Amino acid sequence: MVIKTPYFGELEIDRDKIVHFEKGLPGFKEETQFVFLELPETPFFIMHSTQSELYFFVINPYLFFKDYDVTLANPVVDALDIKNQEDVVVYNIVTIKDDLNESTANLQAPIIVNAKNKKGKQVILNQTPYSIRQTIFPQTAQKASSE
Amino acid sequence: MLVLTRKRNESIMIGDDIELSIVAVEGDQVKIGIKAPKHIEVHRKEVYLEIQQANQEAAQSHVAVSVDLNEIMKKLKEK
Repeated sequence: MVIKTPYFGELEIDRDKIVHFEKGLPGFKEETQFVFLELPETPFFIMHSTQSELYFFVINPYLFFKDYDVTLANPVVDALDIKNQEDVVVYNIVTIKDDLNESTANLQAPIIVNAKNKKGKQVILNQTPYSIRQTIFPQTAQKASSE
Repeated sequence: MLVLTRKRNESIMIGDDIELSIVAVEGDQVKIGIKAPKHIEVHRKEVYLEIQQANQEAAQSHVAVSVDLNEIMKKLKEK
């Protein structure tokens, strides 16, 4: 199938690359199919709907937050039919800001993908120290103190 | 909405497998215990709403910023 993307133009998508989000995403319940497109030479991906023009910037959190620790609760492991930890891929949705340095990632609700069966889900972590809006680039001392 | 009155240590069954119990009442705070099958996810509503809002912001963020995607890409490559 062909989707219209912002950066790559029209793109032929292999059906087996499509990740299925059975219940969509919070705020986007009807969006149940996405592909993850690597943005060359950056640590970013575009998570693009195959049903509309909706897309998100996402990151591999471990490139930014080495110690980021996600524990998946039973309902998630069951819903995504996760058998091996190695099959799990984690992304976080990024909010781009005018000043790119202030862009943030949602660490409290990571996107979890089972690479084996291409099932995905945005998981809300309960009782977590992680923020919905964590700046991803190191902040200068001045900016940090004004927050 | 169905409204039921319960006392401490009393509970409510929802269907056959979901049980909500009132664990403690302290001022205007109520501690609720939830027993549910493991495939049921339980969240504080305000957290779910916040995630919804954050997703909507994120989806619009690259539209709302004045720079176009190629600009963003250029900046990201510099990172």
